[in-house]
Amino acid sequence: MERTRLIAAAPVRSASEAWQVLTTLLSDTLERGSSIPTGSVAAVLANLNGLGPALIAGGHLESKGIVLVDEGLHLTIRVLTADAALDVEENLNPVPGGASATDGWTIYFPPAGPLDKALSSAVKSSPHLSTAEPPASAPAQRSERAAKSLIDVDALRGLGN
Amino acid sequence: MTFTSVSTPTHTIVHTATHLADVILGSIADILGTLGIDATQVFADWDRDNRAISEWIKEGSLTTVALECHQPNGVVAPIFEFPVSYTGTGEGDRKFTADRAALARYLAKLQTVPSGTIYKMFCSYNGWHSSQSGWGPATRASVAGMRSYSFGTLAAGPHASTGLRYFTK
Repeated sequence: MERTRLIAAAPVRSASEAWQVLTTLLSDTLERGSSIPTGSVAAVLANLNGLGPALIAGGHLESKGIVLVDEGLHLTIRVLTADAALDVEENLNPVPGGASATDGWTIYFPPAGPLDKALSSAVKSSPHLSTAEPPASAPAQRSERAAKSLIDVDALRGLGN
Repeated sequence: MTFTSVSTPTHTIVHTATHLADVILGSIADILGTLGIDATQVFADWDRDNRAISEWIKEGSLTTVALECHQPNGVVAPIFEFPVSYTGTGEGDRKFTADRAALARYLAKLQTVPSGTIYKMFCSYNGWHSSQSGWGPATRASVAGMRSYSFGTLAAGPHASTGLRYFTK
């Protein structure tokens, strides 16, 4: 399921504080999964300390936002500023789907204009970060893929009889 | 008898300072990226510099944030200034604005600078100002003889606003 969350930046809170809120939301969501070590998500995002707030302060996460994609998880987070930030109704609870998070989670960043070069360099620090176009929907979970696989196998068996 | 009430949004100078400090630093990062100047140090010092600019706006002492580009041949150009204007006690119905679309169009016209160009940031004050970590006395380059272009208002809040001026040789 595709979900969207909004975070308010300035004037409600500074870009640095908004980046921390975003980091906490992603950590709380993904680290509900038993395969994601506590603190690992924040450690990945720490590679963007300073650049993350600059993306927010420059309004580069307002329209497209970042997109977290994992099996059964497709979450867009937009960070709004100026008057738009005052109207944001935030839901900072962990996003459903995080409990089954896998080590294949990826955060996709949108084009950031003048900051593209710095962003492209920063995402090389982790395989969990990307500037590629995010998939339009979440990949199916393994259990769903397994179920589909079983159906195909049965069909093949039927052909053999 | 009919009673009516009006909801008046309460925005303090803290909100305005937070907004303007973010827009100024965000614009500086975008300018450096556009010019091809390494902005690693801006990112590294982000929290410290944002806190300083925000505090100086809160106390009403900040008049200008300047960004100077120092080229390897000694030329200091271009220079960008973010003048800050205050509106007294605050205008309750004034909105928080940031004209980033116009800034993007403005940046698209900038020419890159030679490789090896570095930047320096300066703040100017209208009198007493609090001491902030990482900031100390310094002397700015002169803008005498440089061509000046004004962007107009870049961002505004109920208590203050900032613009952008651009100086080039």
